[in-house]
Amino acid sequence: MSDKDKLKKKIYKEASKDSGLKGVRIEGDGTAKTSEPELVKPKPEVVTLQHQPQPTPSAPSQIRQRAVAPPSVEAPKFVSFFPRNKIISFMKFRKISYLFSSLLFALSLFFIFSGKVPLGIDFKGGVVANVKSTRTEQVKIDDLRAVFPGVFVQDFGDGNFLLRLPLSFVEEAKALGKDASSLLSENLKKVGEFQILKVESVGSVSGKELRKSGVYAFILSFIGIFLYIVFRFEWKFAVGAIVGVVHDIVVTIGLMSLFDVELSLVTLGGLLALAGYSVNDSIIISDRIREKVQIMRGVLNEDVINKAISETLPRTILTVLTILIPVFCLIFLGGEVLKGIGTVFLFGSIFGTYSSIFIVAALAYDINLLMKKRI
Amino acid sequence: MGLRIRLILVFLSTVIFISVIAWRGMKLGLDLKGGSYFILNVRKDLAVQKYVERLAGEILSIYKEKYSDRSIQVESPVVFVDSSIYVVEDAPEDFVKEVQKKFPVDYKGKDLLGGVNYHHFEVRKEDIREVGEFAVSQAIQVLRNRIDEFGVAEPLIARQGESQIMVQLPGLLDPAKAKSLIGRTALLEFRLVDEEFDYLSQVRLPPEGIYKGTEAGAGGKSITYYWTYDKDYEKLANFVQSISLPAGRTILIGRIGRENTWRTFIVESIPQLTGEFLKDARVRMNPTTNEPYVIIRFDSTGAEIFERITSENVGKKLAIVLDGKIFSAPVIREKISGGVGSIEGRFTIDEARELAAILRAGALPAPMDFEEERTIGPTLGEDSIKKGIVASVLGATLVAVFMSFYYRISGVLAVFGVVVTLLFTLAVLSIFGATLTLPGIAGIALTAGMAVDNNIIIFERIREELIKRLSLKPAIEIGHKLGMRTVLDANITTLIAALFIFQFGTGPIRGFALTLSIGILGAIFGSVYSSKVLMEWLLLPKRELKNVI
Repeated sequence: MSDKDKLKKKIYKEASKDSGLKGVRIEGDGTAKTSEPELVKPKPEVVTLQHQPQPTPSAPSQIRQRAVAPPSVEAPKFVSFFPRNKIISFMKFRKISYLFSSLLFALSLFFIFSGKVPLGIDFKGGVVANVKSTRTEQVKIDDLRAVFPGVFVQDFGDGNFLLRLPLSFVEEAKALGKDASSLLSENLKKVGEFQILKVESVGSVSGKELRKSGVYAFILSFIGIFLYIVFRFEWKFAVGAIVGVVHDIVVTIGLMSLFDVELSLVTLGGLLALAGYSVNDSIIISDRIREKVQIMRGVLNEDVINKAISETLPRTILTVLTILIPVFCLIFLGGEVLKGIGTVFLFGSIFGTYSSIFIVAALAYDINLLMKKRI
Repeated sequence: MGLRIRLILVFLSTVIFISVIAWRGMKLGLDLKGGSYFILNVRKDLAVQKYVERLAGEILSIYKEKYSDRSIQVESPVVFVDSSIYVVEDAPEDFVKEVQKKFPVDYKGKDLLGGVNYHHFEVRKEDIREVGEFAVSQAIQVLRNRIDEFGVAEPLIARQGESQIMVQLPGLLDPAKAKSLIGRTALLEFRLVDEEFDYLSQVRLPPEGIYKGTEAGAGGKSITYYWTYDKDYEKLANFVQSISLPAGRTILIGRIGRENTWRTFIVESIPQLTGEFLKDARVRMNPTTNEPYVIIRFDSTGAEIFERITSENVGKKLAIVLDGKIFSAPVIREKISGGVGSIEGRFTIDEARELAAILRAGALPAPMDFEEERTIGPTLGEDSIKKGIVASVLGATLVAVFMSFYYRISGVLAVFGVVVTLLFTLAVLSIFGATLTLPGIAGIALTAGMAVDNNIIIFERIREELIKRLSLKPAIEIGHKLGMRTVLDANITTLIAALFIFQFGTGPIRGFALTLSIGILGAIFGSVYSSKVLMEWLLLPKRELKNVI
């Protein structure tokens, strides 16, 4: 690190100390202010004067002159969707958020455990086939139903059909000493001439194993993320963040069952990736809270959290926006497989952002309060 | 490092990424270029059964050799059930000792079985486990040989878990043919037909469509058998399973006799000889009937065994059994030496060729079940790749437009960072020889969205610093320094999750995890480091803050 860099660091420390001390002076009556409002005023000298009473290190004037360089006489203008310096008291809503999330969570758990989550063939076994009739005459869906008992047929037009067959079909094939897709093409010949564009068949054995290893993967990655946050932050934040992640995942699965998005190997992968991604917003906020608490010499109150969330709100929302852009493209243009991942990310990133803003920090705060009361 | 050196580093690595991609190319997954993906389950239990059967067969042949002068009082002096082998009690004590010495079995005392007293031997547990293991590794070897015989380009064969094998055949047009060549056990056996006794005369009435017949057996006795037409093959197969026979005898069916009919034979449960001693198999044409048949050649051990069987059993029928079906059952007229035999079975020329190829490639040590199949036609693959690329490119473009609008020049630099990130991802994927799958494309699209998150975190921080009246240079420095902390934390958690997906996932999902993980690492270089270097290069000389960030 060069001397210059050291100086820069000093400047930064100065600046943050100033604003931090101000925050302490103004008691939390909802009008907490940082030094920024003053800065918006056209005369920055006032601010500098205000800073003067502070004990300053040697050679501060030189640094200050360099820091407040000529280009920024006026406050810089940015393209922004967000009002500057507006502090929203998110913590006020935390009771409602807890209630809303608990309800949503309970409902999603109900969906999951009552078996309402639509499972793909990866998990429950069975056959999915895209077939195309090679003859011009119309294929009747009823003809298909007649040769495939228990089939679910989707007609895409132009002789294109999607057939979904239950696990019993695979077992039937096995009993005949065949594999499922051969039996499928034999039965199709009874209806007409078909070209099989895609066929996927899964026996039951791997389905069960997959379900187990999927659950393990979730638990392990939750533990991994938890431990990392404990290591980097504090366990209270880690609890908050992990509750947030579990909430996001469970609610997303609940919504998948509501919107009939299949849980397949691919969407499961999406969910796992989501577990890693949805914690990002929580980290942005926790990081800012930690910074603020450090400046405030260990004080963690509602104002600090409100300020931290409000200040980081632009990046929290912008990061979601930039992920939602490709997500919508995947949903509307990507075709069947990509639509699944896209939808998982849509639900997950929206709820991930919501939980990061309204739940995660609030939870860390409330745990902190509880701990204090105990003592 | 000076700014110039860092700039050179950024541009040079970008050029390297591009050339690596151009040089190595991207391997496409099955879901993008079409092909078949199978998960096969090796039936270890049947491999073990075969092993026990063979041990029993060897014990039997020693028994026969030693005590051929003894009057045989029971039908079968050696019988096996699960992992137990029974030798008839009248064998003397020294035979029991010999069996224990020569074979990996434990003596368990005497046991009553079907009214006859037997010596009970048990096959060792560790041997059973080893046989199962060997069956899987052997099956992989045989599959490799077979797939090579048929010349599929770039096949992928890998073991998966306890007893499963994954096979990927890219670009294969006929999955049905692939399955017949993969799934066929091609277990060749020579079994003696038992016509000493008319076992089936007492059997209950067969279901409709199955007929009873009698013929003069090789020993001169009248023998009852059942037969049916091709269309009722399955009925006959099910019917024979319900017939109970004395220990040591098995009923098999074959397409022999009248045209387009199947009939039963009673054969010994223990085969005399199997295809493991086979050296070669070729197609030949029968000059009189003009039908193809497969000529087989044994190695020296096989030839010796074949010679012994034929000399000892002149006048009996020898069934040639392939995958549990009898192809022919000629009467042994004389001793055959030289180890050459033939399989005839009304083949078409293609069928005969396939059979010869499979026999050459070797028999599977155990049958396999198709546990999972994913076959994607090439047209659908093309369609998927088109849609995937359109979605990803549009997604990335819109993100680029947004970033350039919101963060102006810095936004444009962030877009360059994303491009570097994606190039890095593709380059690393192509170096690893990883395949680009459909979920992998989704991973790339999402990587673009996540990579700019890093820029947003840093840019917002820089804006905050600028509002605090810092000039651009320290604002960029501090923004990066502080933003970096958050960026690393956020990326490491995503990386943790991605690594777990990779650990647990199979097939296409691993592609997703891999793309995501590499993308996250790439973003640190592309979206964080590169865009910082560019910002220093392009923004710092500016006097005005307008449109900078």
